[in-house]
Amino acid sequence: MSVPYRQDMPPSGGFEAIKYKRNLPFRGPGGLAILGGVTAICAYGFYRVGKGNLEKRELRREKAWSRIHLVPLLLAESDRDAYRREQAALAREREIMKDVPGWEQVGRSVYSSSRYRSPEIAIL
Amino acid sequence: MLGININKIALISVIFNLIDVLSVILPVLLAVAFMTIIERKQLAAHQRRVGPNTVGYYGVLQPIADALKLIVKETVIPSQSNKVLFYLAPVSTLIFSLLGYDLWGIIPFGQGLSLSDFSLGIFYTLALSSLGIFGVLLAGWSANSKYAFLGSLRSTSAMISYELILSSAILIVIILNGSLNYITIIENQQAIWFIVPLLPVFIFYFIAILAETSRTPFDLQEAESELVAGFFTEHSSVPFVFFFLSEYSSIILFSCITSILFLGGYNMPELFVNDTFINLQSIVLGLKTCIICFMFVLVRATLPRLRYDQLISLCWLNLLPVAVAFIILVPSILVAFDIAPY
Repeated sequence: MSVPYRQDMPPSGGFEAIKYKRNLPFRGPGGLAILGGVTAICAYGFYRVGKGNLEKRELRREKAWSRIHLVPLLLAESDRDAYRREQAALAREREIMKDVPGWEQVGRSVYSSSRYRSPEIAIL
Repeated sequence: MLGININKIALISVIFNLIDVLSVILPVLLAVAFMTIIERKQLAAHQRRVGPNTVGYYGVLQPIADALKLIVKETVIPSQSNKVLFYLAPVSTLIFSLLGYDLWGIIPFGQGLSLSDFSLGIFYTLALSSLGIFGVLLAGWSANSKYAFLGSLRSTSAMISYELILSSAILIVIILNGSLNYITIIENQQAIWFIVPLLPVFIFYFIAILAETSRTPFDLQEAESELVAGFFTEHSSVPFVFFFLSEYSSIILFSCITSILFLGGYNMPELFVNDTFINLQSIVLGLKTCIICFMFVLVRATLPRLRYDQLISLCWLNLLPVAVAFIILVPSILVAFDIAPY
């Protein structure tokens, strides 16, 4: 007696794909949006940094030039002051030493050369 | 008579210097203590728990009770360990993070408010923060335990790797400033805080300081499921307290340095004229530091731990190329648009 058998076969067209893929919702801005946003923020930041740096350079330049313009004035002032102090010192010496016989000429250079030398000692 | 006077003057100046230093160190030590309770309370809030709330008001005195408990515990020393190095390791770690407090000495808390205006401040910071690794190495080796040893190897290689990223990020800030001095860097941020032009740099800088302080996504040297407790497995009681203190102090220190390098330090928007005697600048610096500390804990509450190979490949394969690219990009921008500060 023959039993009619039926082989268990896949459905026609095959099994459907196994659903193993996670179905996560896509949230937030896309990659290009993030990249563009970060680039925009950085660009604005560098713009501000650049403005700040240019201002810093300008301040440094201003400081340098103000010093350059001040130097002749300060130099002239210090020269005038040194000359006045030297003359006062010579006058004091002349006054103190007027009665000392044999005292050499007041204010004569200690060097034999006649070349001018600026005073090495600041007289206070 | 004169000699006695000179000695007196020297003594007085020494005392004044001590007061100077203590006035910086003591608040920082207190901050370290309260950082622990802040972390626990914040983690509890993230996980919708109450957190420690018994000792003192809202549990604020919990760190004192914790410290007391740890100090009166018995110190267990492994019999086969190298005892000198076993004690030296936590001490050296704490000393280097106390030198970290010397770093606090060069951090400006306001205009003219720093113990020392050191022109190579950032060099000094980087040099001293690298030294902390020695304590970790010594601790792992001297305990004569394979768990501690593995933990110390992991910690050391991670810290050395991530220090590269950290230094690169700081180098970019230095390039943008043309100065290594903290005060100059802060004053240059009056135009804009560096987090805006250096936003990507800030992101990988923050990743690097998380790894450098071995905080959560990178704390596998303290991974309880894999190692017992990392390099300080065998350390108990007071030596453990030393490691604990140095960890939290480095968190606060890096938060402060971050707020100086990227968030404008003591700068604040000129919303109103402050003509009171209260120095708001230091408060502003403290607030910014608190924000970064908050971010540390937020990251701990949010992210899972990385695997060790992921940790190292993230550093060498992903972050380092990006860092090098930015080291090239930033000076290029400065030169191309002629906006260099020098």
